[in-house]
Amino acid sequence: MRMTSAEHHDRRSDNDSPSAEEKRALEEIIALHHSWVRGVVLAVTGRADDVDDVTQQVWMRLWQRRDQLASVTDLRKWLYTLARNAAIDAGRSSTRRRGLWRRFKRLWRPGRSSPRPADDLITAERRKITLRAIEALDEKYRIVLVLRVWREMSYDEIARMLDITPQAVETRLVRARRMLREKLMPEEKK
Amino acid sequence: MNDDSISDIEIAINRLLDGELDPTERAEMQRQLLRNPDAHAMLRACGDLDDRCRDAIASALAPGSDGARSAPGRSWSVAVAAAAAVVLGVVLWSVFINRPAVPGHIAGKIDNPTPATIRGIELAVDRFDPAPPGQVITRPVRHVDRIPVGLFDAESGQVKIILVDHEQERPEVQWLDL
Repeated sequence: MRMTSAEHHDRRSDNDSPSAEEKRALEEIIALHHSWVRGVVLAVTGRADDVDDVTQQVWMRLWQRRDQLASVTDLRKWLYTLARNAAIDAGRSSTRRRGLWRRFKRLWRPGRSSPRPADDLITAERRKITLRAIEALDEKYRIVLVLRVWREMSYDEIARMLDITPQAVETRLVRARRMLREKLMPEEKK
Repeated sequence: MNDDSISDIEIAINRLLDGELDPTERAEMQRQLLRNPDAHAMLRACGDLDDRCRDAIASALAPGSDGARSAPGRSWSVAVAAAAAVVLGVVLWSVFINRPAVPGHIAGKIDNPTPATIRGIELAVDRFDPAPPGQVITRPVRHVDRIPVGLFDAESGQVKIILVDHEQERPEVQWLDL
């Protein structure tokens, strides 16, 4: 059977019934944090095709653990752990099938995968090479790189989230950039 | 310097790029860059690299974008995926066609219910079609996706699933009760 959440809520009056307030709170958390959470999922799994599926699981886990939210002192750090664990679990399960589905979906929706002009293809190829190089980094380097370069978080913010020192963040970033430069810009060397 | 060592100038360049220098340090760094062409070249390379990484990551995560994912129709694996999907589609179609009618367009199956959590829910919905906020998806069944975790409400006997449409700029949360 199917009903809206509001109808569902109206039917129930016990304490474990999710309130409209809880739902609003969750939606707010998702709106505020979905962007970097997806970045973390990408960094941990190293596969863009899995990001949507794994991020869905992150929000499901958040909903399951919503009772813990009141005692969470650092929401970002808590969400980071949630996202990382979900991404690791996804890596253990069969992710290949999901990737196939995604690819099929792109075939099935030609509007989103129609042939591009040559420039776009070059750009796409360049992006693919860059992503592969990022994926080839160790996870500890990928995460700091994504959070810094893409979400522009400070060393302190990343350090708090990952529970490491700002110096460790800095060292990982320097090494990540160096490895990428060597791979993507060999002519530049160091 | 060995391969793993990090020079002071490399650290300083990274800090400059990341906005981690205070104004005095930044001024000093800029003076050093003027005197040191190698450091200047490294700064430029690091800046270009950041732009390139930012662009690649953004394209991979962009709502509704294929970004830097595999280009369509140019890989044997895509053909395999399509063939597998067609076979799977036929199988699923035969399953769903024999299933009792379900109100609306959502069909759910609980594989392994436990008191608090269930795993293995198969939903026949198009997750990414836009639907009005607060309503369940009402579009016709178009493809099957697998959502490994749902919440089982023992009292109502319902399964609660949260779907977040990442193809919207602001994610749209949908609540499904099966």
